[in-house]
Amino acid sequence: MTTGAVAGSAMTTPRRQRHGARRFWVRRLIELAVLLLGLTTLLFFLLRLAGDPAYVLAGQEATAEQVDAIRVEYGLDRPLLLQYGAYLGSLLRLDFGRSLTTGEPALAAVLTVLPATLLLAVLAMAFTLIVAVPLGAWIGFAPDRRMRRWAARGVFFLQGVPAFVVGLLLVQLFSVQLAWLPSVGHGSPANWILPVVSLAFFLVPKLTRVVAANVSEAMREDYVRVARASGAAPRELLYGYALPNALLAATALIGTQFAFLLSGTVIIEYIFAWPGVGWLLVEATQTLDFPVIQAVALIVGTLVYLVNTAADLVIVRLDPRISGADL
Amino acid sequence: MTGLRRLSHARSGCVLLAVAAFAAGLGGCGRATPSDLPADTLRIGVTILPPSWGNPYMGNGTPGTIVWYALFDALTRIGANGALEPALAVDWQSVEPLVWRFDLRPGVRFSNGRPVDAHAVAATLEWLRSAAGRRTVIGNEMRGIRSVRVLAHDSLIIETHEPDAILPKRLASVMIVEPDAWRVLGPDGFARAPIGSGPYVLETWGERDKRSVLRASSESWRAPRIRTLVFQALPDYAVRLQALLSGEVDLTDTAVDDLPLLEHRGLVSASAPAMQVMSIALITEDGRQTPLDDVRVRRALNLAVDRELIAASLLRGLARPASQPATVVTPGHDPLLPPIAYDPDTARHLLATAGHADGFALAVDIAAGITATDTSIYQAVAQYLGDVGVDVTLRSRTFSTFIRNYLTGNWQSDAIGLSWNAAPYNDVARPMEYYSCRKRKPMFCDRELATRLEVANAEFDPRRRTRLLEALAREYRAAAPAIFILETVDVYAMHPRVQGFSLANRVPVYEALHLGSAG
Amino acid sequence: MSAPHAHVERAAAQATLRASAYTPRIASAELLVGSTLAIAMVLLAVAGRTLELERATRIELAARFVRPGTSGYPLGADHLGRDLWCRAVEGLGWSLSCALVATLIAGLVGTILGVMAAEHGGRLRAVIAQCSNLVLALPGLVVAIAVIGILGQGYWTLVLTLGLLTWPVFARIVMAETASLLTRDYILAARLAGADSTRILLTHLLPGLRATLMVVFAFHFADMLIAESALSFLGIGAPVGTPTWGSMLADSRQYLFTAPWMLLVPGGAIVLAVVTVNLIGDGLAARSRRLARALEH
Repeated sequence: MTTGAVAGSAMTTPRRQRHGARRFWVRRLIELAVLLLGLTTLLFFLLRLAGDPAYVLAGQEATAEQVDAIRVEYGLDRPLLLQYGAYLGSLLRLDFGRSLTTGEPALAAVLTVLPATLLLAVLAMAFTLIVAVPLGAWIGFAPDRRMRRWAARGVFFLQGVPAFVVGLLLVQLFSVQLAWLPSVGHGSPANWILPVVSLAFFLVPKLTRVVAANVSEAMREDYVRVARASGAAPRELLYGYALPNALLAATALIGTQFAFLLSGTVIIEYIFAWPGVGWLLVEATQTLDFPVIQAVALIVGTLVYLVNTAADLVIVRLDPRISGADL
Repeated sequence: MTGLRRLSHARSGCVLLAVAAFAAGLGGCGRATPSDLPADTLRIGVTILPPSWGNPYMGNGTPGTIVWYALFDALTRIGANGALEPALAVDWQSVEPLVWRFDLRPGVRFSNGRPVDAHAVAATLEWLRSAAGRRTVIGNEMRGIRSVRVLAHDSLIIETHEPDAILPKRLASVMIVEPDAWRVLGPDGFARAPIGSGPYVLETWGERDKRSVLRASSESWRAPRIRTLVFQALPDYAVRLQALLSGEVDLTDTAVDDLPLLEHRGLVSASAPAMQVMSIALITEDGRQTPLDDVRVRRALNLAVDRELIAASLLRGLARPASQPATVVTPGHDPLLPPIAYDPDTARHLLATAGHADGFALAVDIAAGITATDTSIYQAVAQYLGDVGVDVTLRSRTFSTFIRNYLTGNWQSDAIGLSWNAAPYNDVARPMEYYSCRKRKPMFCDRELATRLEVANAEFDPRRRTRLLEALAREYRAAAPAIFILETVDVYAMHPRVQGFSLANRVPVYEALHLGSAG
Repeated sequence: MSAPHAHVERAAAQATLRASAYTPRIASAELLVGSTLAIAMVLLAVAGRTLELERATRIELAARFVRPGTSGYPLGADHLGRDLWCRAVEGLGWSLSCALVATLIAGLVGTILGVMAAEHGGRLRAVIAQCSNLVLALPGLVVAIAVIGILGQGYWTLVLTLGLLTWPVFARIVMAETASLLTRDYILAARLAGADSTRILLTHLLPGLRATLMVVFAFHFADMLIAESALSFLGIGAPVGTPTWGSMLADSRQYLFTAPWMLLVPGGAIVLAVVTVNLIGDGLAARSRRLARALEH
């Protein structure tokens, strides 16, 4: 695969590149469409197997007629396949239906809370990069020195602490005991610190270790050793060669971690009352609010896919061994 | 090669920063920083904002009423200690068994200046009787109303299908909305921009932050003393507690276990009966032959539980051990009935007499999302039952599954954790109804008790009705359709500067609150 | 899953495999310490299960919030007076076995699909890749709640959900590794010599994958430990009252101020278990790297 790619890239013509780019996007869009279709179908039938929101809407005192009336009103009484077809049709019009509990358009409900989750994800990712990359480079540069070994062990240990445990401890310490930082809401930057650090606690160790491993591998390569022997400053080699290689290998991990951030921040959002997508999803799941659950899944799924595609694009830019034709 | 790499890195870095800035900008939109709010603001932590926002007919009782009682009024209201008080109506009487007359309070206006008169009230009740209205929870509760007629500017006639002695109490849940706004905007539009006659007016729901802001209404007949109310939704109890301790909210509900800590931190607490008897409903109408069909077994289960110890240790003595279906503040409560005794020996004896000397297995479903205190109580009860030989498995069901099983009679267990909830109109007939044959897909059905309940509901003389209900309470205690546990309480904690706090119908009385100097 | 992504996935996987201690001496120490701790934990878990420590589930209303160090309660008691040390040991058994079975399920499904995809290539590979994308895109929490709503709470529901939601982790790495292994000379030689696919699979591929699989298994096991505790924390794992670390953490939340040991005991237990598993994974990775290096030279 690799050798073929090198040969291919050497012979790529501009026209072939344009075709390649278009083919890339077409193929990716088709993949995305298939993914979303599969996601919708799976969730649609799974949710309807899990329960019937008509009862939640009707309340404890409802009569049979009321429950039936609610079913009719929300279209929950029609044959399942018919509902499915209608839902797919409305999706094509970008109509995700209306929330069963609040009545507002499901898409709007998700888009209202999405910025909060994006904010959290981006901040956590940025914080992770700022901490993990220099730390990993420092450790990997000379991994046998004592301080770095202890740092490596510390990072290793931290990998075992779940994010929500960290979150709880941080709130206990900084919010309640010391009263330095607020613990709820997301209005001011002071609110951002604790949830971001909690999430980063979970992401930093893995990234640090990957970066450190790659840097130390790269620094042991033959040509690097030769360059060092012939007088090149090790720092130059670190920044010029080892670190970029480490970042390349880490990009895939970063992509997956960001994807996790978008969809996996539920507990953190819960602990910090951070009104994002995770919170919306948990509430919607408790009341079996089908349209909202499906809207969240589709939008987050699309975002995650786009993030992974972006990561792929970055990889291609960074590593000339891989040509766009391979995408 | 190095330089190119650096350049592409720089470009990727710029892209990342741009995205971050964009997201940060987006995230910063529409936030209400604390400094934006006026000084005399009361911040209240709640579990959830009303899911139907300003549409007060989609739910009955808390948590919706926590906000709705600040925005709206009903014809009557349940005051402190459960007494029925006038609100928008100052007088009412049953002219005939099926006909009620309500006289309204003069001079009350909605926040947009329109008068609260008989036409407005009639419009509300008429909508609840319509097809769309009947589908709502409140509309369903009011299905006993046959017709509404305006008699004069400030009085109206309500006719019911069957004699309903507690119609005024039921009407305490029906919020009166401004009819023109309701008609023009429709329920969904009105929900966004509600107009009522309550002490506060909505400024913003704050969907993004889950932070609703209400402004005092000078028009209201119960004008408040605090200028701004902020309701912050914090679904998780531990988060609410943290917010209270760190000073980010001034008032929130609390668990009894945390009272020592709160007092230690200089916070103040208040509690009031929640008009509920916590219990485990023993299902006998599921078509299966189970040990629970025998009344001796059910009585034995009741005798096996040490309520005093549970109340003393888990609730610091704030909750009363249960003696019957009604709580002490609910009409129909027989004050002569003592709490059910703790007598495990008699319990074992009864079980043996019923043929279960070796005990049996009991599956109990409880709804997920109940408080940690309630879960602890259920676990303690389960252990007491285990001590007399009944092996209990507690299963937590999602709320949707729980309510589906309840409404369809599709029981997945032998018993469920269900209270005798007299709220929101504080009458024991309400829980007795759903613990009788009159419930669709009943859990428990005794024909004679059901008949007596109907008779009591048709009795208009309050004293006679109370005596009928008290007698019924004794019968229910003897029939033991449930394991009666405790009369629960609502406990709130607040910053000492919050003064004048009291609870009515499980909701703070907003017009009585005021902010003093910090304690 | 695109080619460059797969390429980097493999590089990332290998980086993870290599991200162990950097000298052989430490690597052996890691493996030794990790294995010792792991064996101690397994013994403790088995002992807990067989002895059925009643103190882990017995409610003692008179012993609520007993401080650690009080006689009879070495690690203190929780809000229902239950001994935390016994509960932690019971939780150990539950969590370990949950994580183990979930990882086995994920590993089995993922390895089979990964090998099939790499062997047959073409359309099958594309289908399996799409399926793993789909499963990864599913909102895990929603699926878990839905499945539990359908099947009810319990050990097998939890374990199946966790396993079937995470097999793509194995599939991706196995797919990449197998693809690379299949290009190796000795496989080609075996093919030319007429060996059929099954033989190749059993005698050449699986041993080649073994090192990778063990490392991924270890790290996945750690992830499953954390995932199970997260689900219990949200109340959708074990039935009410079962001593699991996640539900102990959930119980501890509102008593952080009155009884912080309720958080520290299960939190510390989780950290210890995950660190142990990571030590083993790391040690294995370092050993396989040393072997690979020895082979190369």
